[in-house]
Amino acid sequence: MLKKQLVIGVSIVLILVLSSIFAPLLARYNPNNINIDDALLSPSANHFFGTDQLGRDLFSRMLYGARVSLAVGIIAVGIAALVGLALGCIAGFFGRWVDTLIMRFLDIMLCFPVFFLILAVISILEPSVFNIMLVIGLTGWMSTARLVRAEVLSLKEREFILAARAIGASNSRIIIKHLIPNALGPVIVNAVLSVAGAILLESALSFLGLGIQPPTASWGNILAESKSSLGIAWWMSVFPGLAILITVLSFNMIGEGLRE
Amino acid sequence: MILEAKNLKKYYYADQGLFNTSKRVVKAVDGVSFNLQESSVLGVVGESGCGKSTLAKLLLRLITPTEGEIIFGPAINAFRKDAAIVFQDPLLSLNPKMRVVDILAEPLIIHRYEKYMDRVAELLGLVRLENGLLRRFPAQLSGGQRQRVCIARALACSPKLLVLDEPVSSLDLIMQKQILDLLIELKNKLEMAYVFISHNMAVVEKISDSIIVMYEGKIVESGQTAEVFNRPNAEYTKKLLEAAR
Repeated sequence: MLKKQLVIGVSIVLILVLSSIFAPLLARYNPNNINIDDALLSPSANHFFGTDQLGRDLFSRMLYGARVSLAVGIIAVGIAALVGLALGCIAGFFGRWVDTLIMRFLDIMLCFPVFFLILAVISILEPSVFNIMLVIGLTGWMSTARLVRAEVLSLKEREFILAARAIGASNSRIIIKHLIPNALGPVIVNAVLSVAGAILLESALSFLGLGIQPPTASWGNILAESKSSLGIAWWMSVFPGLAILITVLSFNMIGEGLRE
Repeated sequence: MILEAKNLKKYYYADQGLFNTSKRVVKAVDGVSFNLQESSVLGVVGESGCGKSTLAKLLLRLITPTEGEIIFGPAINAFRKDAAIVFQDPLLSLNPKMRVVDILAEPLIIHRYEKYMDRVAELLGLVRLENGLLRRFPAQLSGGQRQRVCIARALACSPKLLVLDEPVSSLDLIMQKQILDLLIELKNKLEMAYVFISHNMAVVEKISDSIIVMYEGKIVESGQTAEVFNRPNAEYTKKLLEAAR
């Protein structure tokens, strides 16, 4: 049952990733090509998902948007996982004031509502894809750090760490070769589950106009553009909404599957 | 002399009382002194909780003594190469995410051996493990094989002093005998000194030249193996011997 969950999740994500990589082959139109004559066409054989107010093919825009949305989700979570892994390891391994310092900093980070923190930072910096990845990543490492710290605290009392010390292993060797490989399992599960959250976060930012800037398509800003014609063009909001829903769902399925 | 312990003490302090009003002191090792000659075996016996394992960690400098000192002879100069330890439970003392080959190569890489793979093959031969086990993880080995891997890792840098902390007590009787015979053979072949820690009197009698008996962190009796076994002085030693029969 749980295996099935994992297989379904992985297949959907794989399809999404492949179709975003091969977007130029699959898309029949240039995603940014404006053609006012074809504005707001409903879904048909020519335009699978219809067109938007500027006559751009929604299907093509969604394919290219998948690139941005998936990349932001995965890379932001990668950044968060790396930062969390490093800080959690250092805090758990060295203990004492290093631990106190890192954990209190973590508590401070947790005090801020992440979304408003991101909004504030993005409104100061320019909302480029890179900045958005970085900001989502640097505000999402706290749970990973806690997880890794707890794992390291119990691992470092194990006898094989003592055995490594006895043969002369340095602190850095113990952390890299002995602690991290043994603490990695829950980190990966946590990371996969957070990809869904990061994709949602990017969509929400784009919806508010502080995410990926037009004309570059992302699922979030396609959704944002749809709100002006919500009553007359249902396809503009339904398809990107569904895409986000399915992606988030399948990343959650992978995460749950891996957890077992 | 390869090792001399002088009045070794290791105390642990545990906070007690509602506002840490009183401190409870656990005297794990409380004034232990002994000598160890080169290429000889010192047996350390005593019941669980008498401070044997703490003593082992002190000898390997894995923890620092509260008081006292350990003086090493001229044979020990690069400490992490010349002194090694084998722990009680081999499954716990091997990293579950490392293959046998990486476990054996690790001390060699740390101490910058060239051609360390040749040495790994040599080590396998010393502890009589098959080459085919190199790619396995600790969980895929039997108890005896795991302990052989631990012994091989300890031997990697040709130590002069090997501390064995209950090396056979997690194994079944047949394995115990095999590992014990292997340890005796290795000692004679490689000219090492052992500190052999165990609660099993029969095992200690077989391998040790001299013995110390520990009780609650203190040495209650010491002497040549035959002497201690034939004419025990301390009440506690007599009790231990009786219990073993």
